[in-house]
Amino acid sequence: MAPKALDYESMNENVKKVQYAVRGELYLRASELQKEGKKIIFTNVGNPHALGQRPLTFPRQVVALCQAPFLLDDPNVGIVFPADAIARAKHYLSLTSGGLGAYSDSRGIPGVRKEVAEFIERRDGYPSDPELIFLTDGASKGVMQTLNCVIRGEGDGVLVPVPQYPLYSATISLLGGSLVPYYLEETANWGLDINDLQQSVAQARSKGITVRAMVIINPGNPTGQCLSEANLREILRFCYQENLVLLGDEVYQQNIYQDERPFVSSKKVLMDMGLPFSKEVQLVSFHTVSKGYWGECGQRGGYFEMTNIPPKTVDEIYKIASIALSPNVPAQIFMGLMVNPLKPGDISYEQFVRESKGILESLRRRARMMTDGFNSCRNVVCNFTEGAMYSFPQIRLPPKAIEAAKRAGKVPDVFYCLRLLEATGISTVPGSGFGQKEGIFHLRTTILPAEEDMPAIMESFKKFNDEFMEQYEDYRGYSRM
Amino acid sequence: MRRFVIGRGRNFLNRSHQQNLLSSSSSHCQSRFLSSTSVIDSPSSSSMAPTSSPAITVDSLNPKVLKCEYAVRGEIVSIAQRLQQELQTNPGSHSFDEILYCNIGNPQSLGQQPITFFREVLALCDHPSILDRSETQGLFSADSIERAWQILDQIPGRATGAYSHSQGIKGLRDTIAAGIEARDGFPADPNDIFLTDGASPAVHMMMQLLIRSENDGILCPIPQYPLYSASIALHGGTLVPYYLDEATGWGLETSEVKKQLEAAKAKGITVRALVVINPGNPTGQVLAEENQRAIVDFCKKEGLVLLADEVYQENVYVPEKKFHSFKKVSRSMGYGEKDISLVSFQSVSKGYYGECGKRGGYMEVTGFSAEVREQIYKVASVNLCSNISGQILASLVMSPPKVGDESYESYCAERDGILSSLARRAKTLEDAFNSLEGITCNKAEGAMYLFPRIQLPEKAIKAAEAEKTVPDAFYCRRLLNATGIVLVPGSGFGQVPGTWHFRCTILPQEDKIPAIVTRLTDFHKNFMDKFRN
Repeated sequence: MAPKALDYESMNENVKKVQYAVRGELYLRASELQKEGKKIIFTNVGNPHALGQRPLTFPRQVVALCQAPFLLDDPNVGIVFPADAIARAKHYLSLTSGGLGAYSDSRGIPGVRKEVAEFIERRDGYPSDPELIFLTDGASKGVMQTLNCVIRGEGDGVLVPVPQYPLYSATISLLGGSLVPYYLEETANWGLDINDLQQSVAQARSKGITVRAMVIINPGNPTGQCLSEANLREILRFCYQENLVLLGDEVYQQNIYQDERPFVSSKKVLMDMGLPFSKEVQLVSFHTVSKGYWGECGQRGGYFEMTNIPPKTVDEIYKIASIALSPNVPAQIFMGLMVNPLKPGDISYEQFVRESKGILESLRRRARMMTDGFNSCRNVVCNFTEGAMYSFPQIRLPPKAIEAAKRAGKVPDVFYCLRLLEATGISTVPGSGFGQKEGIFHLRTTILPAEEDMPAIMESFKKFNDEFMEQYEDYRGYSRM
Repeated sequence: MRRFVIGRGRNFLNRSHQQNLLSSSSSHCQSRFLSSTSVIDSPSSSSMAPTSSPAITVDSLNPKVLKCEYAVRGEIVSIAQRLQQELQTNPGSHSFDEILYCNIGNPQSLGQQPITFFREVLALCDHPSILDRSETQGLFSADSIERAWQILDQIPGRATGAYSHSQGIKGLRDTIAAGIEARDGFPADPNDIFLTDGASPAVHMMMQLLIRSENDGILCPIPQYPLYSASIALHGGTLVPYYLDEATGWGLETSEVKKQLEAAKAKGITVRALVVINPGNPTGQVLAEENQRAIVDFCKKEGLVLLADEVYQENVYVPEKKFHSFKKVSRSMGYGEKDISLVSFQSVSKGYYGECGKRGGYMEVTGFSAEVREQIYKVASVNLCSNISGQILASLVMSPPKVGDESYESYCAERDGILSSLARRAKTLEDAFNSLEGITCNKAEGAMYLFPRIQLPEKAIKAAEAEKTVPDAFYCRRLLNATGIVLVPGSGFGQVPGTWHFRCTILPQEDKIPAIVTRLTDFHKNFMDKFRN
């Protein structure tokens, strides 16, 4: 028998290079422990419904009706579903080309894309063209499609923030491109320094890399910082000067927990800047139904909007989208509902507002609780979670702990996180999964556990951490002099 | 000597494709984004204007993106959409009053109804809180309520809005594995199953793993469903064509596959996998079991991964043929994990359920080492998971109502109604095509398409060349403009050089079929009158 066609050695090298810690070693270990009966608190993924956040009622009513349109003919449907949900279901069904079970236009249902454009216009105050909005099976797919267009080979570089959400590093590896890191400054609230950006680009170019694109995640993941308008202007100007397409990952735009820096979209700032920037800088902006206060991760609904991308390029992107036939239709309806919300006077309006506010206000409180909780721990320093869904505390591991990690064959923050997991059942993602400065360690957790569980979780963490630090700090016994 | 003709044909298509798309998108000029009031922030910045054109233009795009094509939604569809708009804004502007999309296997867009039981379960899983209300019993069948509870109990916290395990919810994979076992008579392992947003992403995943460079080849049937050619192009590999034999009902001869394999090897290509689409698309043939055994043996001997696209497994219209999965065939030959690497693809888009818009499907991966499986898992995890509703639907498709269930009879009636109607439409259209001058059409034993061969007169071929169009696209375009019927030119699927085909779905509702046949017949007669030699 001939040797197997596909074994580890003969696999695409790019696949082997991919790393995605969010569902990596820690998660796999946590799953094992869960199977053995241990109670695990999964804080490794921004997955609100998995931690008890309830879905908003109205969208679920609408999509349920769209799934089973024969219900609309039933005289008793009004007993179980409110009139505005029924009306909305009819509205979205009329926009489809045969209900939820038919492939839509490969870019998404035109009527929904129009609603997205209207949302963007209301949000930013500038017109938005539905033809330049593509719906996708989650924002991640849109990111992958865009990077696939940009990366021709390892000679092409993409500027990515460090720390970053590892979708970017994984995708760049998969596509055989080069990741060009630019470091966010933890002591300056995870701020971005243009000089540092400039240096990163110069360094990459000196290695023969053509830097083609820049990724910003705003609000940040895992870092949570919200970019100021001034910052965004600097970035856009930088992209203009360096001829980069800007990828604006704005999936957390509804998760803002401070009032000093409300969310402002890259598109709005770009348009505000006027000529030549508004007509020259290429921008692709991403959004999703997975985050915000909707948290509908399992639907896989997202979109991207293109600005200043030439028509022929848009056509190529359309072509690629058409190979996947169409994004899933139920999620497109979720997207429509998200961008086209209920209005005062609608029957379900008050309940919807109550549910939404409840979630957002609780997230704000949990962001604060977690930050303060971490800051009360020995050797832990934590920037405030200004936005998004994560806390990214810095863990100052004593040298002895780092040695112990080495002996165990583990990266230091992985070692710490595994110990944390075994001791408390809290499953986090080590900072090395996101990138960090050499010798500085973090972990990422989410602010999503239920509010009533938070105090116990933070206590559990503190207990573990302080004991860990005591174990490994050099306070006892011999002098090192 | 046969050569894969798509290359030359593609150039024609590309040029006309670009032309049409340019003209249709000229209205999307970027001038809409001129800002009227704002002023540049700091005057000095204008001195640092970039000297080169924008970063992302067609010239600087990833060439693999530029290279790949997908005719099913290609040029002909753009024309159809334009015509549709014209019909809306100016009724009576054409000799037909509707566009009939026979280009794409999208049953529910043409009036096919979903299976009630499946939709009941999905609706309940989308909005589980109504399960607590007594009124719900009056709106839904009892067994759909029961199934919804069962499924929700398999989802942690009953949270259908949460990301699941990256292979899909375990309980649903158990159900699917049981369904595979019931179908084949051989066990299936839920850990071998990867639920995906339709079968297409699963195909892409495998191409990604298999293709290291353009020196890696994948054997594909010609004609083929162009997902394969597109995916291979996107991943930078080489498509190694093997020709199905039209004269023997699109038969697959392993001698032909072997010949192509050797030719590829001689050119320095490492052939990694063999794609088999069964039932075939666009060709509709259902493989005979002994044929499948030969294919399995071939892959085993040559060390190829067998990629079995089985999405049409429930679409078989002839009593003399039956679907046998390649998994079943391999296992019945005594071959296990160590003997053959097999990836089987299934989808919720076809069959009698036709749930294209849901994007549900899976691949069953057997015969790979643990390290390879880890890598497959890793790639799947970057996208976190496939959509939950699609996962649930995949499990329903693989475990529909059984004898004794409340919905069983109505389910059977719906299913059999759709399948028998598909069989009738397949026959009606096959006969219609065969009655046209210069057209021969093999039977559609399965799937959802007919792929008639058309002998185009020399005059027509010359006229096509004058318009810089591939002859079969020329025919399809004229047909569309005259009748509103959208077909896909055979060159989109590949064909023996010098032969021409087009693909037509069997999906328009039965009451529309007579009109389609009439329009087609009239058009064809006129076409032949005009271009007959």
